[in-house]
Amino acid sequence: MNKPLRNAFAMVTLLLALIGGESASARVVQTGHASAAQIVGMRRLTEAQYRNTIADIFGSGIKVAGRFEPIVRPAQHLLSTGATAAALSPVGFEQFDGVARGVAEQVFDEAHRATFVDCTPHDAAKSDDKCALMTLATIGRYVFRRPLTAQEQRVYARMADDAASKAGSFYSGLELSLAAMLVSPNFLFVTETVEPVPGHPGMMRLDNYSRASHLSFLLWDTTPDDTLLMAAANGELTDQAKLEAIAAKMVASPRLEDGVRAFFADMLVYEKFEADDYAKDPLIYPRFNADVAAALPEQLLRTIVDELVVRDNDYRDLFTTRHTFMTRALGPLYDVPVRAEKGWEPFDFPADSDRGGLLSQAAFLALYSHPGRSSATQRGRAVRELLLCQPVPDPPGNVDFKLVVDATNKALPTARDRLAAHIANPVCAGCHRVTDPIGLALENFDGIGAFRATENDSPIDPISTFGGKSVAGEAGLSKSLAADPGVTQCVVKRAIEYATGQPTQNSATMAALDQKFEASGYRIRALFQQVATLPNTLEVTRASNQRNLPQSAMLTAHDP
Amino acid sequence: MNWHHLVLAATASLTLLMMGTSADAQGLRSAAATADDGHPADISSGKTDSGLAYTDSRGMTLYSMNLRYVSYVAQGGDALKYCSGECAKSWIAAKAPADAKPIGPWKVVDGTEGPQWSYKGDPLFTYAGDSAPGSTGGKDRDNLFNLLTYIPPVPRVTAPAPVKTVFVGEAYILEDGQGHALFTIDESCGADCRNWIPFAAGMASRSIGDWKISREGDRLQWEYRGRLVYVSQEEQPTRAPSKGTVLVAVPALAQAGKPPERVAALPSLSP
Repeated sequence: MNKPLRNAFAMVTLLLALIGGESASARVVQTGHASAAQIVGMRRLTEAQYRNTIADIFGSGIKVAGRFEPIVRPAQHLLSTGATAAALSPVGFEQFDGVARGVAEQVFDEAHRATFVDCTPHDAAKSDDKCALMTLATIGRYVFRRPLTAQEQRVYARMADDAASKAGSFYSGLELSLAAMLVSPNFLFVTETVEPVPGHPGMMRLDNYSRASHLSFLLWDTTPDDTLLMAAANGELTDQAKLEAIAAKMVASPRLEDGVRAFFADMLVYEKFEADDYAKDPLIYPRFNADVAAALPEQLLRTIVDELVVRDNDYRDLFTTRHTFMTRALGPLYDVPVRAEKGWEPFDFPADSDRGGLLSQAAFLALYSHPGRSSATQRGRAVRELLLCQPVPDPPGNVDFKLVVDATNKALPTARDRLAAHIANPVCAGCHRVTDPIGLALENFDGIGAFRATENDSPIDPISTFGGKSVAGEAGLSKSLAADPGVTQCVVKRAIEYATGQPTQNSATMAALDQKFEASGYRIRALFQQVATLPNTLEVTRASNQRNLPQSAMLTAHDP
Repeated sequence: MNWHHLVLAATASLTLLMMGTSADAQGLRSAAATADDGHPADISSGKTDSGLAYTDSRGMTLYSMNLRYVSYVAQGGDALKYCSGECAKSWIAAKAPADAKPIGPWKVVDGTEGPQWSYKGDPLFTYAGDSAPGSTGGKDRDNLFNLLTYIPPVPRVTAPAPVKTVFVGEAYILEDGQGHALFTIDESCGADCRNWIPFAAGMASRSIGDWKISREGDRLQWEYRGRLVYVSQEEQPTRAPSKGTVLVAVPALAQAGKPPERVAALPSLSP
């Protein structure tokens, strides 16, 4: 596409993006759809969802090149909660625009157009409104996760025709129109629209297409497929029994692995692996190279998916499982032999190993450490906040950390010694008593998660306490954690928040869901099935225009 | 119409895949030629003990003499006439007809015995020790002579967009655009295929030629002539698992005096 056309295109796409209200925080917007549906929520696609969506619509041969403006995580909450309040900055829009143009260019280039255009233009150097309309309506249904309205079809077809006439290429016109669709809020934001609940005045519910997106992004982390779109078109997704049957098929699919991956990546704050927190001092940890750094987060997610989806085991087993996966790069860190020259191979830690479960994974241990030393406090805080949903306050700004940071102090050779000295300050003691006992049980693992028996030539004592009971090292802590009801309650809470994109508090609904989770033997498939079809996460009260989250106040706020 | 049938060749019998040599690797060693260059009428190509190679009109394997190296060895002498005496007893000049015309990289040079074919400047020979067509006894001999490998023209394959072809051994196999061979199966794969990676189609994709989209599973998957297509995850990505069969676009060999055939005369997969 030539430069003037590109500039004109950028203007058009920007205007289109602004149509309909770009702010995701807008709660009620009358759409231009024939149904005049109300928008009650808009959630920005995550980078993974964007990439999965493009791959599902156009196949893996279409490359998504470029960076994405990150979604900001609200303190103590999930990224998916941040996604519901994510606005788009001008720079962020430019990034999406660049990616969209790259995708559109590939889709209609000479190599690909035969795969995606089901008609032949009368003259490839001119516009052909009929062929353009047919192509864009087909693709648009997948891009917008619903059929295009007649008005949208006209707008995008006209845009293609105008551009084709100016550029002298039918396919350049299609390219421009597709790129415009890909920067539309209808694509970049998963839009939730509602309709009245028949027979219940004042009650609204997510409409069929919103439910299709809800199921698909929650369970498979991608855009709705043809089956879901057809079910939505047939009105099956507002029928609770049919909704549950469809969700049951989806959780039984291997594609649930993608949804579970995305959920745990969010719950375990995976964006931290991209941050400086994860950098290690190469002089102290020469084994922590780029290959190891890249493999660790993947190892943790593979372990989680294998345990919870492939093996369909009890969620609590995640804390004690001996099963994991290794690459050649990880062998030296774990001090285990790895046969595969490249790629991943299954690996089981022996029964007498010092490792087992999520807390012994080097990804967790390294992420919650300092660049040059371990951190009992960070690890303890991570367990409290991420796995038990117990927020820990940030330290006050005027704390003297001198004693804790000097890991070479011969007088205080171990982390236990240093932390004991640090919490002599009563201002610090309050929080450290909550976090440190957990972290001290993990002190046999250094700042990159490698096993160690000593620190500064002094033996490490991993005996600690959790829940008022003594625990012996990582194995003891993990066993106690697995038995703690707070762990399963936390994952239920996170699952609801992940599904709805809204924070939630303890409630009868949460308790009921936890009971069902227990009854299923704490199977993640069952939890996802329950959360995906929970009636009151799919309904909205007109007064609040918020979903009926399991919060008592919300449940009573019905419109008279 | 210039197009290739895709044929399925069982991996077990595909010695070309077993060789695992890439076109590039061969080309670097032996000044590999491609039929796209065109070739003289008295030059052909054929299967040899070492893969596809150009041959003379009798089917004897051609070798090119590394003129650059010979120029250094000859120390100012006429490198084109370097192979004489004892050398000429082992290496027989590929003589060109008196009225021979250059074709692309094929040129006539003045060799020891008169007009002689050269390829990209290197004079061509047959090896006296090659007793029959297809023998490659002269390969890697004397450090001066290289087998003149024949690489068929890149086939035009009607296939979904990400599909590319890569030359492996004696044929172009189909890959997913990222270097992983595409394969299918002749019979039920049972539990074996549970871990195979489907060759995924996009929802907006449409059928193309013999390629259709299977909508039976949770992921759309390409199928070729009714058989589901998978992506190799083998350590050697140009191979298929034991029950799989790599999709191959088989071009014919260059025939003397004719442009290279583009339609394979090999059996194609029945629907």
